[in-house]
Amino acid sequence: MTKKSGGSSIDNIEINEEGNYLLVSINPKIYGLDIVYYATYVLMDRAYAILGGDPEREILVELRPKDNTDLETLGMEFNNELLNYAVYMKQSAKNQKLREAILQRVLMTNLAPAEGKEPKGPIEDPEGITTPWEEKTWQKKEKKLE
Amino acid sequence: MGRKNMAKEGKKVRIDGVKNRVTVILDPKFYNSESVNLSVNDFKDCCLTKLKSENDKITVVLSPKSKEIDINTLGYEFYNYVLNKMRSNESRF
Repeated sequence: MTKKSGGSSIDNIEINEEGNYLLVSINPKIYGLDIVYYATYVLMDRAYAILGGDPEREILVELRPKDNTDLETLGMEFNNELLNYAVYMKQSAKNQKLREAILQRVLMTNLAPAEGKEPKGPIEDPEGITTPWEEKTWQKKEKKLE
Repeated sequence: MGRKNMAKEGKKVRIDGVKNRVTVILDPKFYNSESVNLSVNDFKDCCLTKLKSENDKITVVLSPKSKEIDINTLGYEFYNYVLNKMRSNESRF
Protein backbone atom coordinates (compact mmCIF):
# COMPACT_ATOMS: atom_id res chain seq x y z
CA MET A 1 0.00 0.00 0.00
CA THR A 2 1.32 3.40 -0.90
CA LYS A 3 0.42 6.45 1.10
CA LYS A 4 1.44 10.07 1.29
CA SER A 5 2.84 11.31 4.54
CA GLY A 6 1.51 14.29 6.45
CA GLY A 7 -0.85 16.87 5.09
CA SER A 8 1.59 19.46 3.85
CA SER A 9 0.95 21.06 0.47
CA ILE A 10 4.61 20.68 -0.46
CA ASP A 11 4.87 17.07 0.55
CA ASN A 12 7.57 15.24 -1.37
CA ILE A 13 7.71 11.93 0.47
CA GLU A 14 5.85 8.84 -0.65
CA ILE A 15 5.92 5.97 1.79
CA ASN A 16 5.44 2.33 0.87
CA GLU A 17 5.02 0.46 4.12
CA GLU A 18 4.53 -2.95 2.51
CA GLY A 19 7.76 -2.72 0.57
CA ASN A 20 9.45 -0.97 3.52
CA TYR A 21 10.82 1.87 1.43
CA LEU A 22 10.11 5.51 0.71
CA LEU A 23 10.41 7.65 -2.36
CA VAL A 24 11.56 11.26 -2.07
CA SER A 25 10.82 13.53 -4.98
CA ILE A 26 13.19 16.47 -5.50
CA ASN A 27 12.91 19.48 -7.75
CA PRO A 28 16.37 19.91 -9.38
CA LYS A 29 15.76 23.66 -9.70
CA ILE A 30 15.75 23.90 -5.90
CA TYR A 31 18.25 21.19 -5.01
CA GLY A 32 20.85 20.36 -7.65
CA LEU A 33 22.18 16.86 -8.29
CA ASP A 34 25.35 17.59 -6.27
CA ILE A 35 23.27 18.42 -3.20
CA VAL A 36 21.22 15.24 -3.67
CA TYR A 37 24.43 13.18 -3.80
CA TYR A 38 25.78 14.77 -0.60
CA ALA A 39 22.51 14.23 1.28
CA THR A 40 22.40 10.60 0.11
CA TYR A 41 26.00 9.96 1.23
CA VAL A 42 25.08 11.03 4.77
CA LEU A 43 22.27 8.48 5.06
CA MET A 44 24.08 5.65 3.32
CA ASP A 45 25.18 3.95 6.55
CA ARG A 46 21.57 3.76 7.72
CA ALA A 47 19.71 3.13 4.49
CA TYR A 48 20.07 1.74 0.99
CA ALA A 49 19.67 4.48 -1.61
CA ILE A 50 18.72 4.30 -5.26
CA LEU A 51 18.72 7.38 -7.48
CA GLY A 52 16.38 7.70 -10.43
CA GLY A 53 14.03 9.96 -12.30
CA ASP A 54 15.04 12.78 -14.59
CA PRO A 55 17.93 15.06 -13.50
CA GLU A 56 16.36 17.93 -15.47
CA ARG A 57 12.79 17.65 -14.18
CA GLU A 58 12.38 15.48 -11.10
CA ILE A 59 15.00 13.55 -9.16
CA LEU A 60 13.73 10.54 -7.22
CA VAL A 61 15.53 8.95 -4.32
CA GLU A 62 14.41 5.56 -3.05
CA LEU A 63 15.47 4.90 0.53
CA ARG A 64 15.26 1.52 2.27
CA PRO A 65 16.26 1.53 5.94
CA LYS A 66 18.81 -1.08 7.01
CA ASP A 67 17.35 -1.28 10.52
CA ASN A 68 13.94 -0.53 12.04
CA THR A 69 14.09 3.23 11.44
CA ASP A 70 10.72 4.85 10.93
CA LEU A 71 10.19 5.56 7.24
CA GLU A 72 8.69 9.00 7.70
CA THR A 73 11.49 10.06 10.05
CA LEU A 74 14.05 8.87 7.52
CA GLY A 75 12.37 10.91 4.78
CA MET A 76 12.25 14.01 6.95
CA GLU A 77 15.92 13.59 7.85
CA PHE A 78 16.76 13.32 4.18
CA ASN A 79 14.90 16.57 3.55
CA ASN A 80 16.89 18.21 6.36
CA GLU A 81 20.15 17.00 4.84
CA LEU A 82 19.14 18.44 1.49
CA LEU A 83 18.57 21.82 3.09
CA ASN A 84 21.77 21.53 5.12
CA TYR A 85 23.89 20.97 2.02
CA ALA A 86 22.04 23.58 -0.02
CA VAL A 87 22.97 26.20 2.60
CA TYR A 88 26.53 24.88 2.78
CA MET A 89 26.96 25.10 -1.00
CA LYS A 90 25.55 28.62 -1.08
CA GLN A 91 27.85 29.82 1.71
CA SER A 92 30.76 28.05 0.09
CA ALA A 93 30.09 29.83 -3.22
CA LYS A 94 29.84 33.17 -1.39
CA ASN A 95 33.17 32.68 0.38
CA GLN A 96 34.98 31.20 -2.60
CA LYS A 97 36.91 34.37 -3.52
CA LEU A 98 37.91 34.99 0.08
CA ARG A 99 39.14 31.39 0.45
CA GLU A 100 41.13 31.65 -2.74
CA ALA A 101 42.70 34.94 -1.61
CA ILE A 102 43.71 33.46 1.75
CA LEU A 103 45.16 30.34 0.13
CA GLN A 104 47.05 32.42 -2.42
CA ARG A 105 48.49 34.61 0.35
CA VAL A 106 49.61 31.52 2.27
CA LEU A 107 51.30 29.99 -0.76
CA MET A 108 52.96 33.26 -1.80
CA THR A 109 54.62 33.77 1.59
CA ASN A 110 57.45 31.32 0.93
CA LEU A 111 58.02 32.10 -2.70
CA ALA A 112 61.25 33.76 -3.94
CA PRO A 113 60.90 37.36 -5.14
CA ALA A 114 59.65 37.64 -8.68
CA GLU A 115 62.02 38.37 -11.54
CA GLY A 116 62.86 42.04 -11.97
CA LYS A 117 62.55 42.65 -8.27
CA GLU A 118 65.94 41.09 -7.51
CA PRO A 119 68.64 43.57 -6.51
CA LYS A 120 70.84 44.56 -9.44
CA GLY A 121 74.61 44.92 -9.30
CA PRO A 122 77.10 43.49 -6.79
CA ILE A 123 75.92 42.73 -3.28
CA GLU A 124 77.75 44.48 -0.47
CA ASP A 125 79.85 41.90 1.40
CA PRO A 126 82.30 43.59 3.81
CA GLU A 127 83.06 40.37 5.72
CA GLY A 128 83.56 38.23 2.62
CA ILE A 129 80.79 35.76 3.41
CA THR A 130 79.97 35.18 -0.24
CA THR A 131 83.56 34.20 -1.12
CA PRO A 132 83.98 30.41 -1.37
CA TRP A 133 86.17 28.68 1.17
CA GLU A 134 88.62 27.35 -1.48
CA GLU A 135 89.29 30.82 -2.85
CA LYS A 136 89.97 32.17 0.65
CA THR A 137 92.51 29.41 1.48
CA TRP A 138 94.29 29.73 -1.90
CA GLN A 139 94.56 33.46 -1.42
CA LYS A 140 96.15 32.91 2.00
CA LYS A 141 98.59 30.29 0.64
CA GLU A 142 99.62 32.56 -2.24
CA LYS A 143 100.29 35.39 0.19
CA LYS A 144 102.49 33.12 2.32
CA LEU A 145 104.48 31.99 -0.71
CA GLU A 146 105.11 35.58 -1.73
CA MET B 1 6.12 11.90 -14.77
CA GLY B 2 9.44 10.75 -13.30
CA ARG B 3 7.81 9.14 -10.28
CA LYS B 4 5.43 7.15 -12.45
CA ASN B 5 8.32 6.13 -14.68
CA MET B 6 10.32 4.86 -11.73
CA ALA B 7 7.32 2.79 -10.66
CA LYS B 8 6.69 1.58 -14.20
CA GLU B 9 10.30 0.61 -14.73
CA GLY B 10 9.62 -1.79 -11.93
CA LYS B 11 12.25 -2.86 -9.53
CA LYS B 12 15.74 -1.59 -10.08
CA VAL B 13 16.87 -4.64 -8.14
CA ARG B 14 15.45 -7.96 -9.32
CA ILE B 15 16.07 -10.95 -7.10
CA ASP B 16 15.92 -14.44 -8.57
CA GLY B 17 16.03 -16.83 -5.65
CA VAL B 18 15.77 -19.93 -7.84
CA LYS B 19 18.78 -19.11 -9.98
CA ASN B 20 20.48 -17.48 -7.00
CA ARG B 21 21.23 -14.19 -8.73
CA VAL B 22 20.39 -10.51 -8.55
CA THR B 23 19.95 -8.16 -11.49
CA VAL B 24 20.71 -4.49 -10.79
CA ILE B 25 19.69 -1.82 -13.27
CA LEU B 26 21.49 1.53 -12.97
CA ASP B 27 20.69 4.81 -14.68
CA PRO B 28 23.87 6.28 -16.28
CA LYS B 29 22.46 9.78 -15.76
CA PHE B 30 23.02 9.28 -12.02
CA TYR B 31 25.66 6.58 -11.85
CA ASN B 32 29.06 7.11 -13.42
CA SER B 33 29.89 4.13 -15.68
CA GLU B 34 33.55 4.13 -14.59
CA SER B 35 32.50 3.78 -10.95
CA VAL B 36 30.09 0.98 -11.89
CA ASN B 37 32.91 -0.86 -13.70
CA LEU B 38 35.22 -0.48 -10.69
CA SER B 39 32.50 -1.67 -8.34
CA VAL B 40 31.79 -4.75 -10.46
CA ASN B 41 35.51 -5.48 -10.39
CA ASP B 42 35.50 -5.25 -6.58
CA PHE B 43 32.47 -7.55 -6.33
CA LYS B 44 34.23 -10.21 -8.41
CA ASP B 45 35.81 -11.58 -5.23
CA CYS B 46 32.48 -12.59 -3.73
CA CYS B 47 30.19 -12.90 -6.78
CA LEU B 48 30.08 -14.10 -10.33
CA THR B 49 29.38 -10.93 -12.29
CA LYS B 50 28.02 -9.87 -15.63
CA LEU B 51 27.98 -6.30 -16.91
CA LYS B 52 25.96 -4.97 -19.82
CA SER B 53 26.01 -1.32 -20.77
CA GLU B 54 23.43 0.29 -23.03
CA ASN B 55 22.65 3.91 -23.82
CA ASP B 56 20.01 4.46 -21.18
CA LYS B 57 20.82 1.77 -18.63
CA ILE B 58 23.61 -0.30 -17.15
CA THR B 59 22.69 -3.84 -16.16
CA VAL B 60 24.73 -5.78 -13.64
CA VAL B 61 24.02 -9.41 -12.77
CA LEU B 62 25.46 -10.66 -9.50
CA SER B 63 25.49 -14.27 -8.42
CA PRO B 64 27.00 -14.82 -4.96
CA LYS B 65 29.73 -17.45 -4.66
CA SER B 66 28.97 -18.13 -1.02
CA LYS B 67 25.66 -19.03 0.63
CA GLU B 68 26.49 -16.70 3.50
CA ILE B 69 25.81 -13.68 1.30
CA ASP B 70 22.25 -12.43 1.66
CA ILE B 71 20.79 -12.29 -1.82
CA ASN B 72 17.98 -9.97 -0.65
CA THR B 73 20.33 -7.13 0.25
CA LEU B 74 23.13 -7.79 -2.26
CA GLY B 75 21.67 -5.54 -4.99
CA TYR B 76 21.09 -2.65 -2.60
CA GLU B 77 24.57 -3.06 -1.18
CA PHE B 78 25.88 -2.80 -4.72
CA TYR B 79 23.95 0.44 -5.27
CA ASN B 80 25.45 1.94 -2.10
CA TYR B 81 28.89 0.68 -3.08
CA VAL B 82 28.71 2.46 -6.45
CA LEU B 83 27.69 5.72 -4.75
CA ASN B 84 30.62 5.37 -2.35
CA LYS B 85 32.95 4.73 -5.27
CA MET B 86 31.69 7.86 -6.99
CA ARG B 87 32.34 9.88 -3.86
CA SER B 88 35.89 8.59 -3.49
CA ASN B 89 36.59 9.24 -7.18
CA GLU B 90 35.24 12.76 -6.81
CA SER B 91 37.53 13.63 -3.93
CA ARG B 92 40.59 12.16 -5.66
CA PHE B 93 43.01 14.80 -6.98
